[in-house]
Amino acid sequence: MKHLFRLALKYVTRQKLRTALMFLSVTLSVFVLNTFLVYTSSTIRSIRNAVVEENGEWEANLQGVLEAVRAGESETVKSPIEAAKIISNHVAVDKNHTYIFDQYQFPYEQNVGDPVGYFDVRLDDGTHRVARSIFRSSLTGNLEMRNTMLKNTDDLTPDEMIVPSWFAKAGYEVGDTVTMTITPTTGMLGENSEAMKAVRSKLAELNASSEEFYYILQGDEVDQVLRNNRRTIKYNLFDMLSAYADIDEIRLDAAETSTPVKVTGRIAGFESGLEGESGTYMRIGTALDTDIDLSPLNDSPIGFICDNFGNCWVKTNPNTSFEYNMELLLKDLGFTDDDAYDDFKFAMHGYGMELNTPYMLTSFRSVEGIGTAVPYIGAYLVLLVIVWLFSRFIIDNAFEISVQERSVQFAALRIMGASKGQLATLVFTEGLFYALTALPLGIVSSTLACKYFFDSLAGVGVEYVEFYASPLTILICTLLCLTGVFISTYTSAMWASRKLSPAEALNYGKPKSTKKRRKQKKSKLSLSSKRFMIRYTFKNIFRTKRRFLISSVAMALGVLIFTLCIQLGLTLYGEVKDYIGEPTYDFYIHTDGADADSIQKELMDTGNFKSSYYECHGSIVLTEKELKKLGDESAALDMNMQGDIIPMSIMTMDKTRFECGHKGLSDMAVPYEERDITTYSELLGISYEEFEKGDAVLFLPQQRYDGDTDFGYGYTELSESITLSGNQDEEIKIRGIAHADYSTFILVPMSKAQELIKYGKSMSANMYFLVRDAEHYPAAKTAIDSMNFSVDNVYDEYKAGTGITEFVNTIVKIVLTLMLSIWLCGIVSMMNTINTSALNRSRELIMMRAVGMTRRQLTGTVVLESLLFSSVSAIAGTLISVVGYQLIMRFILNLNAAASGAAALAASLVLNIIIAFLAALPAIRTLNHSVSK
Amino acid sequence: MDDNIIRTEALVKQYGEGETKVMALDNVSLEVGRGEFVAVTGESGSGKTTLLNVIGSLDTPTSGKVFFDGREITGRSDNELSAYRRRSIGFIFQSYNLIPVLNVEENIVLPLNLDSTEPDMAYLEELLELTGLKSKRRSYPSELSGGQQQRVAFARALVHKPELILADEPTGNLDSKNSREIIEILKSSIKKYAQTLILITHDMSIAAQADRIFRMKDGVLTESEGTLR
Repeated sequence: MKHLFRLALKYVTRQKLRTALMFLSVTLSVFVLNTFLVYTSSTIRSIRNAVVEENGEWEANLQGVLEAVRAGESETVKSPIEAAKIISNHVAVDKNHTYIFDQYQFPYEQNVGDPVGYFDVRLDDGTHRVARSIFRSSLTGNLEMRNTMLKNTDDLTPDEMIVPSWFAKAGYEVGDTVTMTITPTTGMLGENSEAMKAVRSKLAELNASSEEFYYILQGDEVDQVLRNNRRTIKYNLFDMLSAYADIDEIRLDAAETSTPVKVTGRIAGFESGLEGESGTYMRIGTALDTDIDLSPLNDSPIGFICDNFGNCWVKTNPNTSFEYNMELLLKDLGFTDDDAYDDFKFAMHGYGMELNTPYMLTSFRSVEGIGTAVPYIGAYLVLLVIVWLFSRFIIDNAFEISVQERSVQFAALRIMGASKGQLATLVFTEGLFYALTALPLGIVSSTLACKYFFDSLAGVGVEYVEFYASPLTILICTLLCLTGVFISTYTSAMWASRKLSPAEALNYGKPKSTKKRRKQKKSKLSLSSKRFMIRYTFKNIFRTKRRFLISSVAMALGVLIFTLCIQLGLTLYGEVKDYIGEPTYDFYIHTDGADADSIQKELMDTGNFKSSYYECHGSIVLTEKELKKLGDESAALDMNMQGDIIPMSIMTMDKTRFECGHKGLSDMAVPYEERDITTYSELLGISYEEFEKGDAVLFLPQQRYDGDTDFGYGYTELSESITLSGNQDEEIKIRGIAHADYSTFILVPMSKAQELIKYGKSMSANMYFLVRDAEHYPAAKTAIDSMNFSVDNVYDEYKAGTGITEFVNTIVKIVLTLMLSIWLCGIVSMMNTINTSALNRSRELIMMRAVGMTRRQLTGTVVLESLLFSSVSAIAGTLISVVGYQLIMRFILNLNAAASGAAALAASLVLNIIIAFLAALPAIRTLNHSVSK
Repeated sequence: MDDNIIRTEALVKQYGEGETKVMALDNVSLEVGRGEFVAVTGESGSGKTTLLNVIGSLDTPTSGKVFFDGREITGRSDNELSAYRRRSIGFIFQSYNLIPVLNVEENIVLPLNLDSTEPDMAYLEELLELTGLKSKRRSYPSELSGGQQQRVAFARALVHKPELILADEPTGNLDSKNSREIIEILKSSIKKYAQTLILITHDMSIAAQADRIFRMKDGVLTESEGTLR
């Protein structure tokens, strides 16, 4: 046995070209297969990150279970709060990713005759607010609360709570204990109620028609209102009351209340952000195992108005299966039936259980998730099989050639007395060598390449992307590759030892006698040397049809992928190239207008940003009386609306925004054709400093709403400023009127806008930041994540801004690596085939050299054969890719299939010609070397 | 025009160095006249095939010279040597080395195709007649017996009417009957066309038919006594 191992290793070490080709074949095949698997693993992880970000990291919503407990279905647990405590401390639950959330709310009223409902909330110091909905949530993992809370809520004790910021305004501090008395109230808002009178009075003061009020309440008109973009119109009665009356002091007719619910807790912090002030709902944050219980609200007899969500999102213990955890938990919650989990899963008794199947699928947590994705899994498995077969084919082809080349030697061994098993062992040992060397190299190199690419994508701001090569992935790849290698060595070994008899092996490659007589065709005798070589080459190709076909298919696949990627790349580049250039922003932050200046200062001071600008948006409601002050200009407004008031946007901006161009931005204030070149500064003809010193500018559409009058494009300074008053008594002085495109808004100097904000006008800010450069991007991101302000939204657009070149480069590298590795497989396969074809005919080629064939003619026949292989592959692969490209563009991406195929075709043909020459080189070298012997 | 078709001067062919040095040809000087039938005998590994290869420009000597028809061929370019082989030499090997994808007559005219020379169809017919392959002209090598294949190889060596025929054990794979027939065909051809034949053989009965017999031993060529010259 030792001698066989030694012989096998001698074959490996002495047949350098063959070994090199084999090693390359196995390494490339493993590279392709492992890349596919690691990309899959990383993609699933990235999808999971997205799922967690969008939907939270939970597995099951036990709302149905809590409802069942409340309904008395549990054998042992009497109340939802008791159930929540059991859940929060249970061994089957991951406490860090479980949260409870219940909400109580009165629905929106649409019609005048509908009852109105609210929760009257009184604190023990007498502070009183009204809320249409109240919800309580434990904060850990709670998406709704996560972005709006300042402090880390993981440490809340059962008696602590995070309360709205109006508690602070009422004088409470962190650490104070407060009791809220919550009284559900319902009643009718009569026409002659104080609230309604207040609303009408206000509208009359604003010279708005009281008919407006009724229009708003009817559902259809709400849609109409939306179309007319009347942003200040409230969608429901409660919001209308909130806008035009003191909502906290409304009194309802025929009011009904139910038993107040007292809730006491210790204040651990205050909710901030824009929603902290809102009175229409109230949010309380608590610990998971809280004592703060709002569930008695469910006992309110005002039943038809109260909705209770009672959600309880849990993530189970990751060390045991999801199903096992559920069964254990349900038993401890008093549902001792063996089918309890199935009952809840299928809502057998009216109480269901919602499962987060996307998360569970991407986490491989249970068959529940996997079950929903069976079609996708099926499609993926088909792809995996194709990739595996492709890699197996490459290895198989290489092994087959390697063994058949030595058939005479193997026959000699058999003649000398080697058994079939010994011959098989010889071949297996070679296979083991490649399994131990090329396989790990292929796995390591592909894993590192994947890591580099995924890390690069994450580095340019692609969200959620994460490299992940699970041990399972590597194990699967190793097993698949080992299986491929050993199947190949097995079939080759069996051929060498069993299928090929010694006598047959000795004659292998020589003409075999065939029973079937070949068709005798007319001879071609009068041939020039050139024509003879061409004819001879074609005859040889047809002699080895199978190998020719297989190698051509392998290489055609590489050509197909290459040309397809080029075509798609060129098309996509054409789509995005307009955006490549000077980026306009990398980060967009939406926040409270009052904080914009401070946020800008804080972030710019970090030194990670090159520039920034922001604009603030608010609104103002103008009545017909105010509009008449505009004179003829008011005709530009769309008067085709309900009622006689018009909401209008207010906008302000900093110097950079005022003076920068509009390129790449969607800005309706400037005619489309001039958007790339016109700044606000140019339109108005003044600098930012001059603008700041003066009053606001009113922007109106260029044409009347009915298209009758064209006011033209430009700006007119008024001889005297006009003062417009809004429905909240805010006053804005207008210095001039600009006509540009379709928009209607008032552009206010920043200092004036800050005054409005100071006096209670709410405005939101859109802030834009440009990163200094690629090196500063990570620090810039950290600076934004850790800034001392709570904002509504942050959008990271670095990959489309400053990082777009990097992003595109990374995508190109990823695609190129995949393309090249598949293409190299095809090339190596062709090299194997050409080499073997030439070597199998070495005797006849040497003979032809003996009878006078020149070296050039010898090279020519090998190169011609190689060219024919590669041409067939190039043509077939390119044709299929052109068709495939058209299909993808038209039916999948739904884009115009631009004719970018010419460049791809040219590149493909040139490269394939080069490859043909390269593939022929080893064979020519070997033959010339053999002839000289 | 030299009387000797082939002349070698102090041919040396050495493989390896030092302890592994092998002298395949050790100072071989030979003259072969036109129309002569020369046999070269010797044990395996004595250098017979090497001598044939060097004369036929398939191999280059370590030192020494080879003259064909008075013109030195050692040191020529590959293209010149290829042309030399195409036009002036006819090779016959022990293993037939036919092209399996070409039929009998296509195999025979192979040297002419390589030289872009139009075949002499009358001569081709004569060769087919001489070798008994007329009825097999369109058959493929896989459909022929060993003896028939060797005849094809033989015809291929003669189709371009070479001045010199080099045969390396042409009857090695044939039975005695076929062997005799091949030798007879060879002898009649060289007589008819004034060709020179240098033939390597182990068969002393064949060697005895030669005009001169040389013996090769350890790279040294000696002429046997009792030969015509």
